[in-house]
Amino acid sequence: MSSKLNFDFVSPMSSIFSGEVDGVLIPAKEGDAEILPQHAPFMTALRVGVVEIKLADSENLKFLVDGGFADIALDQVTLLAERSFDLVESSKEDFDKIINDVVKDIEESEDDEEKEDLLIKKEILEANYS
Amino acid sequence: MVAASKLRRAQENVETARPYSDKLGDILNNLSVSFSGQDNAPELLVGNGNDKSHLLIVATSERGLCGGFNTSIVKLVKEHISQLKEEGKAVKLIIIGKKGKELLQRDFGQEIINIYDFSEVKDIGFIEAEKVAENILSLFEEGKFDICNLYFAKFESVLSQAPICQKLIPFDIELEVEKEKEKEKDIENICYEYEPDEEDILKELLPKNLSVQILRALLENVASEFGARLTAMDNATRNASDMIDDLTITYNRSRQASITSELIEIISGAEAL
Repeated sequence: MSSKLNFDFVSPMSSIFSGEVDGVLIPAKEGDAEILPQHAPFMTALRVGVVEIKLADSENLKFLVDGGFADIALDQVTLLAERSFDLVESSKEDFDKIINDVVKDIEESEDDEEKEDLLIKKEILEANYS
Repeated sequence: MVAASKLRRAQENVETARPYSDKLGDILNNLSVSFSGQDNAPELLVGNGNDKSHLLIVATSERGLCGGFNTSIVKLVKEHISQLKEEGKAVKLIIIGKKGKELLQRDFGQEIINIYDFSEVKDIGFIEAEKVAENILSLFEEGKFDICNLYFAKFESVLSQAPICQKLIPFDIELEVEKEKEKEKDIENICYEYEPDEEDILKELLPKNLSVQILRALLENVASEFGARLTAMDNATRNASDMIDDLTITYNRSRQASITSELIEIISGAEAL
């Protein structure tokens, strides 16, 4: 049994991350979950939150997702998310742009649930603003 | 050669979109196998039990000059429409792309319920696909149709693009399940834990799957269109240069003929003196 996880993080337009990792922290619908090697088969929907990829030899990667799915089986984790935003590598301009977009969406949004998600998104973005 | 570089980009887009739709398909298959045969399965998965009204989504290109690309898709669509009409089924059309509208409006103007024009959009992406999917979903919820098929050209190579028909609603389980079975026998026996439960996941997954399938079709279509255009333009160039060669020979012959006749006139004139 290996002590590593195979992790694939894909969006409709590109593959964001693919490789071996030590663990992944995912914002599952019913609470955050950390997936470690030899996790039981598990499938969950995601909510707005941060996906943290734990790597052995470099710093952790962090991505903001606004929903998606995770499929965990036999040390293979597949994460599907339509929209994601890199919280570590992105530049200040990128942050400004996406925060502006989110603020605009909050103003336009009429759905309470949607609004709440957007507010969480904004908070996460501001907390990670560097 | 413009089409060649565009084609390369479009091909890359198709390939990057593939893993997502494949993975989504895998997840969906795992889920749907456990649901097949049950009464409470979502309608998007198994259909609503009727097959009276069909919705056909026809994806075509925005611009012409791409050989038989649009006509081959439209031909397939027309065949299916007449077949459905013979069986007494109602047909509705949603068209993506200006060319499809031009080709179908005269014969089936009344059946068209919506036309999408993405000629302003430079790179077709998820947003466009989502728009179409949302439209389909709301129509389905209103009960405007029972079965939904998607028509587009699958990109096989630069030389060949096959028009195909893909079932969107109900979801086509069997076809992919067989493929799955060969590939991953061991995964089949895994007992999954679901959070929230299977039903809720499926409810979220199915609409998403619709958008992704449409996105994939649109991207395949873009690649096919450039492929078809590349071949069409290549043929046009070859035909033109063949014609130029022919015309050059004709020109030279007639020039030579007139010179010869002038010479004959001069010589016979000189001989007469």
